[in-house]
Amino acid sequence: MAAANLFEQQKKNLRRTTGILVGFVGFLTFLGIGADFFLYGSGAGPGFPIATVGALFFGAASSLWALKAGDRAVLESANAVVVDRADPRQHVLDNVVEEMAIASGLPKPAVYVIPDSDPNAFATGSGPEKSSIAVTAGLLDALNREELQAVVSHEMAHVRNYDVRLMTVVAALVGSVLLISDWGRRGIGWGGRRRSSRAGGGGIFLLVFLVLWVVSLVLAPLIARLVAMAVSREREYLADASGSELTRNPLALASALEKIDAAVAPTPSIKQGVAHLCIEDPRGRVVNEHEGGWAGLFATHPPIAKRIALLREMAYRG
Amino acid sequence: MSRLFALAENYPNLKANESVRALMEELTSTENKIGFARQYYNDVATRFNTAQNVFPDNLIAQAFKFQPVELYEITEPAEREVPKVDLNVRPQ
Repeated sequence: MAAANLFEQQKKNLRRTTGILVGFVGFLTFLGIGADFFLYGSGAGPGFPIATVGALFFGAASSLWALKAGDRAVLESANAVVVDRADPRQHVLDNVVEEMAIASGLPKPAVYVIPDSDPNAFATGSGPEKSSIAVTAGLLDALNREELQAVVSHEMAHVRNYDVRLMTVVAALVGSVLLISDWGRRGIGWGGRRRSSRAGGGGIFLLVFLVLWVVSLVLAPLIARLVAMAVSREREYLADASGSELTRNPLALASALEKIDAAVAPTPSIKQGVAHLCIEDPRGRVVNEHEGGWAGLFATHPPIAKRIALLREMAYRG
Repeated sequence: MSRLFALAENYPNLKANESVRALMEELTSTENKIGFARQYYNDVATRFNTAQNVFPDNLIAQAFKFQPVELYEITEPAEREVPKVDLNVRPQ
């Protein structure tokens, strides 16, 4: 039962989402507590943990802002314009999105076109009730109706699986971690001098904590990015599968991916921060060709050849 | 639909005509929308029917005498046929 299996996977997706969010909140708290301890010296007395509260508040505020206005910012940064039904090709796109909305039982997302000749597409928004799908003009030129439908179904699956919401929040949290760790690193020199003036108060436990904190401050940007990319990669297979469940046509998505892959050029109008939302990495890098190893860690998408092979197999099994 | 497309293949001018292209797109889209709406209903209905037979949901389903719902299937071959479109009628 492919359908039941997908349903299970969606549930698993939601559980994992919670895990990732808890992890990020824990990490922010850890960074904040460390800052309170070593930079503000409140670890010695019952002072107000200003950095901890500040870090958590900052993370929450930027996530909320991203959910409320992030989609607008993303669309504007890609120069996306609202679909024009007077243009025959865009008319087809609008129809296809409506068909896929019906197939998935969700409200129709807002449809945008990006004036860029490289084929690519992405979905954004805060959930199924408020979502947008944007495709490049190059995609409209390169694909036939069935392939376009397949790409839209993949984006629709991202919306239905709550991937757009998760990735919006993850992007905001990664941003907060970057900012806070940067700020913590700047504070180290200043705080270190203060600490040495009241030397000998800590003991071995404090020393271990200090080392751990400094190490995570240094690694924070890297870890945060790696988590975001891992989250994105695993969701691509699921979106391919549940998108094909909507169209009942995995081969169309396979041939669409082949055509998108053939256009190796990067998509300049889609910014790096949106890479994980796209159907294929807009940076046009070769790291996505291999899975595993160092290259695999930094890829937002699984290798396209493997995705195509899985879709073919899906069609073969019927 | 297939008849219309076959007709269009025979007359390249007709295929190039913008209104005919728009008409074909609307026909395709409308047919797809009906098909996908039916598919969505059947997907949800199948999930509902399956859940009634799977533990632990089946206990509640039996206790409250849930009935499996009917799927939307086309039984009459006439209904499966696509509507014919005749482009030979001239406007008055």
